[in-house]
Amino acid sequence: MITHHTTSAILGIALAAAIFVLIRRDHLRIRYSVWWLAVAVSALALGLFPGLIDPAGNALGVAYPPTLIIILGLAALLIKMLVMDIEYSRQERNLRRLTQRLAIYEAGQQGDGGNGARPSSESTGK
Amino acid sequence: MAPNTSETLSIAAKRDGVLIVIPAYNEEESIVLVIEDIRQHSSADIVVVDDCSSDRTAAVARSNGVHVLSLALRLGAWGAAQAGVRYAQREHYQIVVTMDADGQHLGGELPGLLQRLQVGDGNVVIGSYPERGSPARKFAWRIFRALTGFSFQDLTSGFRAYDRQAIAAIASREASLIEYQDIGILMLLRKAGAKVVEHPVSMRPRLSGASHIFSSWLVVVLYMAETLILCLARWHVHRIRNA
Repeated sequence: MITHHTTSAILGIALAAAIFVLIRRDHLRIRYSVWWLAVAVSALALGLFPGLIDPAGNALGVAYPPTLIIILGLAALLIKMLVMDIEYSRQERNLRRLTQRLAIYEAGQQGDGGNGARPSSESTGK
Repeated sequence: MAPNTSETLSIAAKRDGVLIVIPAYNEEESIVLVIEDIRQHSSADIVVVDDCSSDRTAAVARSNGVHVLSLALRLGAWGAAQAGVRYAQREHYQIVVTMDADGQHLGGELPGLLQRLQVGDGNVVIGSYPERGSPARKFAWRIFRALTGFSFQDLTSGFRAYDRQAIAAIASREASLIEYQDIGILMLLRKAGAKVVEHPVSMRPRLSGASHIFSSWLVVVLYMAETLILCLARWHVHRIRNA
């Protein structure tokens, strides 16, 4: 039977390796890579040296320090999801306005002129 | 770049111009009747915003001589209406009236709605018909009136007239993530300092389709939850200027 040290080391190395590979292959925008690089380094450190969490657990009064990893991991995931939804909302707003602007522009280009309406040369901007 | 002479004339002609915006999704059966009804009562320009319909809504509208904006992605009723509002802003129209494409809103009510706006009763006139609607809709209105402090009888009517100040507010980026042309828009207008008044109108049953908001109980629950959050998110202390 392998020890829990070996298991945590394998999981930490596998997670870190997967993230490093994805960053190297340019699958992640650099801005997002910063977060995932931090996750990879943390996973590697805690996977190889699970005892690192003990002083933090003791200092924070956690009776069984390894649960602190789970709590911090969950908190990090929730924060990441929140940031993703904020980013998604920003992109959704931009996409909607771009779609509207494209429709207005296309109608002008096609001379889609019922009403005798002609698009002017001025732009409403954003 | 300054507009050339013909553009200047075009802009001048629209200084008092009214644009009727009709967001439409799969309304090929009713759109012609809606356009003809409007033309019987108003000479205003009409723009149909085709919300990525799978039928011939855009072609039918175009063949009836109205301007058509075709959205590449489906944005929902308010997203489509906002496209028309942005078009109106770009084209220097002074007044925008939004009407549904399903035939609920009557062209015969346009003069009354526009008159209220033109005499300066408010920046926005809601064509109000509170008699319509299910018990669920009326229950929802009661809750949202209590939450928002609005006293409007008809919170969800899409039959509305907006002046330039209101057009600027609802064409803004802030309005682009709103899902429906109802309470969210009213709260935005209140924040922008616009005065909103109601004008009683009559409406008729839809010629086609069903209410987007009150189509099923599940949708009602989602709508209620979203609007509740919107009310809380936009909860500012503002002087309520509605009549």
